[in-house]
Amino acid sequence: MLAIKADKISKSYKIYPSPGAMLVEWLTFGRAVRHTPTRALTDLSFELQEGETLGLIGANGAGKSTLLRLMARITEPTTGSIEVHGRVSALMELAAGFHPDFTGRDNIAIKCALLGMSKEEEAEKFAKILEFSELVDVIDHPVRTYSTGMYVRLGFSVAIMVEPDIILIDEVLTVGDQHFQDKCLRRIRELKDGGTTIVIVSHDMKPVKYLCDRVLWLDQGRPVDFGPSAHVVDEYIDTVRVADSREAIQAENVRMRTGSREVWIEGVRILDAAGAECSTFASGDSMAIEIKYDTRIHVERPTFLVTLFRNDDVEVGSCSSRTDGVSPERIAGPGIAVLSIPRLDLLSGSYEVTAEIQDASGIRPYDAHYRLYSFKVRNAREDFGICRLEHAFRFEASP
Amino acid sequence: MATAKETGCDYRRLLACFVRLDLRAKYVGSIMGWVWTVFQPLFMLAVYTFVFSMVFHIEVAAETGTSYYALFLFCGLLPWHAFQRGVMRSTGSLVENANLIKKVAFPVNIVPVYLSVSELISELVGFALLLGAIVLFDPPLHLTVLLLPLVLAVQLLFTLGVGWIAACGNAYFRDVYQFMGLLMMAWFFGTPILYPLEKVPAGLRTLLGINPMAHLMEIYRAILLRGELPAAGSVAIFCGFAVVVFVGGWAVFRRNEKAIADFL
Repeated sequence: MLAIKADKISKSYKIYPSPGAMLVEWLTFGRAVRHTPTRALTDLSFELQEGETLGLIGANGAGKSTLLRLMARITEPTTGSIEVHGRVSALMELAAGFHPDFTGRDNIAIKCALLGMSKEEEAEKFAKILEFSELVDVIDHPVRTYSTGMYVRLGFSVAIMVEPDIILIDEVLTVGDQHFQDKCLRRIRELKDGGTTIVIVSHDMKPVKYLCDRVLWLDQGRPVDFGPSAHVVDEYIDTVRVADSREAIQAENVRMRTGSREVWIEGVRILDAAGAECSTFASGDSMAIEIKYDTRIHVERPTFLVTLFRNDDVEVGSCSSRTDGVSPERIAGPGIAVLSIPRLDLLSGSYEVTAEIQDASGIRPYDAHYRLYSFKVRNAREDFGICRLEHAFRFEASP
Repeated sequence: MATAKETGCDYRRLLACFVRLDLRAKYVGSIMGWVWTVFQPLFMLAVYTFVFSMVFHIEVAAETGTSYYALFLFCGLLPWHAFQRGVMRSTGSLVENANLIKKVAFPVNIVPVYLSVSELISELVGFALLLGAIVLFDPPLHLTVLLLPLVLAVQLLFTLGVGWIAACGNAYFRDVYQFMGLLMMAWFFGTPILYPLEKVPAGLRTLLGINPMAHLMEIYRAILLRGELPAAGSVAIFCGFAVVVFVGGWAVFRRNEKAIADFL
């Protein structure tokens, strides 16, 4: 069954420079336009099935929170329509509605009422809420005496114990200490397994990848990508990495060609197991990098060097014919060098390839193509980092 | 902003919770607590009585229902204060609760409602004092006192209507709060609270006739002090105002609540 259906929703806000300007516009019935329209969402359509978990990702100002507020019915779309089926609980501002002079116990009551719990429901869940919050010792103290962490724990505990059909979570997974975060994640997982529809906004990709079935990536109010979470998150991380390192790369002008050209590189091809040119690999695939070269002179023991970079400037590793001790005795004309990598155990990301031919000592480059070739790796697993280490686990009970 | 139905929210429970909270908020952290709720109207009454009865020698004729100025004054001051505080607190309420309104899905119209109800309940403490004083100093207590809940209910409708409209206005323009402060002061002196209507020159008296609060005062004095059914004219005018303002205020609020959630 459908839980949420958004049909071409747009949301724009009118920003007035001053209250006076707004009055002028009102008094002229909108003829004297004084506002600047600001678009938070543009023409967004999607459907979410009951029991699905949706992640919303994107930079600040991408429209994630606006979308969440639309789902929570706090605000209405400017155009388009949104249908939400079932009881919604929104965890946005955890401390909203707290009264600092009242005790934790009182504030639980307020929060329960705000979230739409009935009296019976509250009575039934109070013990669970208290236990989850780990605030038993201070529950009868005024909340103004609480630390920020305790404050947030209280808010989260109430909100997470409601049993809504749809739960909306905005950036609250990053609250509290590690212990509490893990506990929250487990509880959300429980809700998910229990069939609750969940929408999560987070800048932390790990919970998104861990919890979500599908991810909607927004940029400036428009959808960039919508699909299975691993795929979209990988694309997103990649793009962010490039954006972060683009300046540095441009400053250093690292994509370039240098060398004396006694030997020159005609072309470089990245090949898959079948020998066809390929730009996207899965972790563990085999890969070959083929360097086509030419020379007019005789060259003794040229060094062939291939270096892989991730697109944020991390040097992943290099393969050198000199250190391998396999450089050809001499070359005297066109030819190809093929580097084969039987298991490409890199994790998701975009990678760049530097191909170089150097002299026998590996000091002077004949021709070097710095990071001119690229490929992507997509990994379906939840591993993080650059590479997957060959590994095995062993378990034993202690005697 | 969502209606109660949309959020699955129990409106009455939320209202009860907010009202209880607001009443307790008045004394939480204070030593004397509830005593202030009793002491405050008494003190105010003493001050006004001193100024107007002992300094200015305003006397009330027996036709108003009592010859004690203090009782006469108290009877008008209580409902006025509940009205004034309900309206003024409602006026500022949306701005003060902006964070809640923008982040939590709940029926926002409840904010002015709980403030007005809370003020009305505080008024009840004063009424208990007033009834006690009548029994003590100017018996008997008339049976018409049983009409009090009805009057309070209509007064609540009027307070809510004004409160909703002013709250919306203040969300857009903060000037409204300042304006309402002045309006309330003028309204207070333009309503026969400190003085009996009979002392007003005949020409001005017709002007006061269009002031719904003047009629409310008449209604209160009729049922509490004189033990009569209130004049049909006063009842008609005040009820008419109350219903029109209430319905109008509700319409204004419904029309604007979504826009305000975006605007705040």
